[in-house]
Amino acid sequence: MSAKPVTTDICLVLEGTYPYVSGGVSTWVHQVINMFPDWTFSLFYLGAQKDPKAKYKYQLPPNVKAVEEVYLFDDCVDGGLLGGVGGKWKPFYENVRKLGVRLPVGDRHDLDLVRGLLKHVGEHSRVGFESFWKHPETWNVAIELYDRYAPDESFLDFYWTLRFLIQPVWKLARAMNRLPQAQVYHTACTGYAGLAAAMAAAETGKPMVLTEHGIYLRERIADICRSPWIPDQLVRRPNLDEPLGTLRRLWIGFFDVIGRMAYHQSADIVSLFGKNADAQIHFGADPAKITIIPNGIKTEEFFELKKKRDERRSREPGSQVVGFLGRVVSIKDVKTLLRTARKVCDALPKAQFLVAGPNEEEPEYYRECVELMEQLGVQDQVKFLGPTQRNDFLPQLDVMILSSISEGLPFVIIESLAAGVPVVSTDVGACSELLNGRSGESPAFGPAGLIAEIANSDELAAHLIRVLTDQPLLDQMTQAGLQRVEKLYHEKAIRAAYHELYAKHLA
Amino acid sequence: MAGIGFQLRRLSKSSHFTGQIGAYASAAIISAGPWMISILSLMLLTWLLHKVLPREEDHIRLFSASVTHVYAFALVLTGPLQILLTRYTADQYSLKTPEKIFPSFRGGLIVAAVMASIVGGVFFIGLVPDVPWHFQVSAAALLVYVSCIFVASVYLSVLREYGRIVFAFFVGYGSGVAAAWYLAQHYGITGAMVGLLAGHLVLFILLAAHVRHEIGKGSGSMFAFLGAAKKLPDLLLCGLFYNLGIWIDKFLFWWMSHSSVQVSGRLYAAPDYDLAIYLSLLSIVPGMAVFILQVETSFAERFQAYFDKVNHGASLSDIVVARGQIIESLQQGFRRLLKVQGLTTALLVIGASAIGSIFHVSFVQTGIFRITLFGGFLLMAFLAMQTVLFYFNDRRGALLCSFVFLLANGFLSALTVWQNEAWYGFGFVVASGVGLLLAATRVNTRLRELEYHTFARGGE
Repeated sequence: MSAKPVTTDICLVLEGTYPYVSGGVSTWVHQVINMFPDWTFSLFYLGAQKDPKAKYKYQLPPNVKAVEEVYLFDDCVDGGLLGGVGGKWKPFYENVRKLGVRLPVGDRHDLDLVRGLLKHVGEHSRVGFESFWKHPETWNVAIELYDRYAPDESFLDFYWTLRFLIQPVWKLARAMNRLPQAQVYHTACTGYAGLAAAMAAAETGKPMVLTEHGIYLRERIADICRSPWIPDQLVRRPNLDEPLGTLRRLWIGFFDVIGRMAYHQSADIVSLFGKNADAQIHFGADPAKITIIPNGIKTEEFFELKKKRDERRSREPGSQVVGFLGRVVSIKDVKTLLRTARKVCDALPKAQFLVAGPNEEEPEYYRECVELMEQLGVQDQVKFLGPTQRNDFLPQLDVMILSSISEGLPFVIIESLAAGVPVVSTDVGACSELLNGRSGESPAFGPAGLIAEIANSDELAAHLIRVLTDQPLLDQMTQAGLQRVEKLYHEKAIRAAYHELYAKHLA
Repeated sequence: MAGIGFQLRRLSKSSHFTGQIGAYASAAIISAGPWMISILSLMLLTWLLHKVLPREEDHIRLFSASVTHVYAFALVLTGPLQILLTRYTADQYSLKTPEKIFPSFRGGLIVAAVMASIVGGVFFIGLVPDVPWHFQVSAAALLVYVSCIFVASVYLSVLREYGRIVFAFFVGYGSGVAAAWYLAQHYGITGAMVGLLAGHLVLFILLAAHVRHEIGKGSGSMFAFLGAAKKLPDLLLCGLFYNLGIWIDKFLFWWMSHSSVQVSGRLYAAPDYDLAIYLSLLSIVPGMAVFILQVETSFAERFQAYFDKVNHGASLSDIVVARGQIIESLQQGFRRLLKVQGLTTALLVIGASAIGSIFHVSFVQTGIFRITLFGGFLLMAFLAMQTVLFYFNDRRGALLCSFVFLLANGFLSALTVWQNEAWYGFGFVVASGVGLLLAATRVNTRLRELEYHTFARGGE
C-alpha cells in the first residue's frame, strides 16, 4: 500500500451508514468520534451507488481528518483494454484456483489468498473489470467453479451470480489504496466493510476492531431467503431435501466467508448485548475476543424532558398518549402498530397514537400504512407527524411503543427510558435486556416496560392497555427505566470501555 | 442497520442473451438470389436481341456491358446499406419497435437512390460518350432502380418472404425482357434499355407495395438507421468488402486486362472472362439452395434451441449438448452442400465444351470456364461459412474474411491479368479458396468456444 499523506489514530470502515445515512449505527459512530476529541479519525465509507444529491447527515467533528468513499455497485467504468490480462496474471489465476479448490472457510489461508488477489488487482489498475471478466482464463475458472459447486444449476444464473459476487470485491480492491492509514482499523459490521478492514489490518499489521450492532450475516441470510428473484433451481424445481438453492447458498456462503475473515482478523470483537454475542460465536467469532459494550447516552440531557413530561402529566391526569419514534419502514412493522392502535382504541377510546419519523424512505410502505389506517378507522386517533424533534416528542408521551421485527440495541428505548417514558416493545435484539435487565442484574431494577411477541398486535394492545390504565405500574416502570439507564447505558460507561479498547491498541 | 448487502435485482435484468436468428441468413440470399435471376434474364435477353438486331453486335455489347455495370455498381454501392438495414430491421423486431422499420425503408431508399444517381450520372452520362442520351439516362436510371430493388429485397428477406421476392423478380424480369424485346424491334438498344427499365419499375413497385403492406406505415425518423452505422462500422465494411471482393476481379478484367474490349468511353467488357464467370456464378444455385434450406430448417431450429437453453436455466452440460446439435446440423448442411454442388460442378466441368458450344464460346473461354467453375464452388462454400459467422455474430471474423477475400481476389486477379489467358480465373479460384479456409477456421473456433462467446462476451 502506498504511503498516505494523512495517518490517523483510528480509521472507521463504514458500510452504508455514517455520515450519509442516519440511524443507530451512525449515531454511535458520531458519538464515538466526539467521545475522543484527542484522537484523530478517518472514515472509509462503502456505499452501494453514488447519489450525487446525497448529503452528510452529520456535521463531521474536527478530529475527522480524512474521508474516502467507494461505491461498490456503481457500474464498472474502470477502463483497461481487452487482452490486458497478460502473463503477470498467471500467479493471480493460480491463487484464484487455490481459493476455489476447497470450499473457502475464511481462515488465515483464505485470508492471505484473498489479500494477495486484492493487492494484485489494486496494483494492476489498468486492467478493467470487464477486461478481466471477459478474459478466457476467467471463463475457464468460472467453468471449473461451476463444475465443482453447482453443476446442475442454471449456468446463466450461476455465471451472473458469480459476476455479481466478484464485481463489488473488485471495486473494493481498486479502492484499497485510498483506505486511510491508521493505527487501528475499526469497522461497524462484517460484510464488505469487514473485508476491507481485515485486508487493511492484515496488510499493515495494525490491529482491527469490529463492533457489530446487528448481525450482518443474519440480516443477509434473511434478505437472501426472502428474495424470490434469485433465480435458482429451487424456484424452478422445488426440492424437499434442499431447503436452499445453490445460488442462495452461494450468496450466503460468500457473506459467511468474508464474515469469518473479519472475525478471524479482528483483535477485538464488540457486541452490544448478550444475544448478539451468541450469534457472533455461532457465525465463527472466537468467544475469547468478544466484549460486550452497549450503546449509551448522556442521561443528564434528558432530565429536562422528564421534568416536562411530569408537568404535562400532572396537568393532564389520565392522558393516554402512545408514541412511536422511528422511520416508517417495513422493518419497524408500523402496520402491526396500527392494528394495535385499533385494539387499544376499542378499549380506551381516548387513547392517542403519535407516529414520529421520516416517511419518505419507503414511500410505498408509507402509503400502505395510511391506507390501512383508514381501513381500520383510526385516522382520528393516529397521527403521522413526519420528522419530529426527539426533545419535543418524548415529553408528550405516556408510553412508547416499538413494533420492530428486527433491532440491535435501539437508542430509542434508552432515550425513552432516560426521559421517563416506559416502553412496550416486541421481543427483538436487546429490547428485553433493556426493559427487564440482563439476567443476574444486581441490583435488580425491575421492569421498565413490557415485551410482546413479534407482530402480535393482541399482546401489544393488551400490554398498552395495562400500562395506560394502571398509573402506579406506569410510574414504577418510569423509575426502573431511569435507574437502569443511568447505571448501565450512560455514555460514561461506554466511553470508558472504548477508551480502554483503543488505548490498548494505540499504545 | 449497517450494510449495503447486495443488489442483484437491478443487475440481473441485463443478463439475457439472444441469438440474432434470421437476421443474417438473408444477407447471402439477397446478394446472390436476385442477381442470379438477373443474369439468367440478361442472357436470355442478349440471345433475343441477337435475333432481333442481327447486325448490331456492338450495340448489343453496349447494352449487356451497361447492364452488367449497373449490377456491379448497385451491389457494391448497396452492399453496406443492405447489411446495415438487415441488422437494423432485425434489431427493431427484437426491441419490439417495429414502427421504426418502415421509416428506415424510406430512408434506405433515399440513400440508395442518391448514391446511385451520383454514380450512375457520373459514369453513364459523363464517362460513356458517343451514346444516345436516352440510353445514358436510362442506364443511370436503371442503376437507381436496381439499387432500390436491393433495398426493398432486404425487408422482404427479413420478413422471410423469399417466395414473394422470387415471384416479384420473375414478374419484373419477365415483363422487362418482354418489353425490351418488343421495344428493341422499333427503337434498337435504347428501346431495349427502356423496356428493361420498365420491367425493373414493375419489380420495384411489387416489392415496395408488399413491404408497405406487411410492415405498415410506422413512425419515426427515416435516417435513424444511420445511427446504427456508427455503432457497427464493422458491419458496413463487411458489406462493402464482400461485394467489392466479388466484383474486383471483373473490374480488373474490364479496366486493366489487354484482352478487354472498349465498348464506349470507360465502359469495357472482357468477353473471355465475363461469360465464364457469370455461368460459374450461376452454377452455384443448387448448392446454395440446399444450404439455405438446411439453415432455414434444422439449423435455425437448433440455433434457437441453444439460446432457449441458455436463457431458460439449462445446466452447462445441457448447453454443450445443444451446441453439439448445432454443429451436427451444420456438418450435415455442409455435407449436403458439398455433395450437391460437387456433383453439379463436376458435371459442368465435364460438359464444359458442350455448354460452350451452345453459347458459341471459344476454346479459351471454355478453359477459363472450367477454372471459374471451381472458383464458384469455393465461393459458394465461403459464402455459406460467412453466413454461419453472421449467425454467431462474429462480425470481426466476417469482416476479416471479407477483407482477406477482397485483397486476395484483387491482388491475385491483377497478377493473372498481367499474365495471359492461361492464368485467367485462377485469381478468383485461389481467393475464394483462401476466403473459405479462413472462414472455415473461424467457424470452427467459434463453435468450439460458443459458450464463452455467448456468456462472457455477450454474444460478441
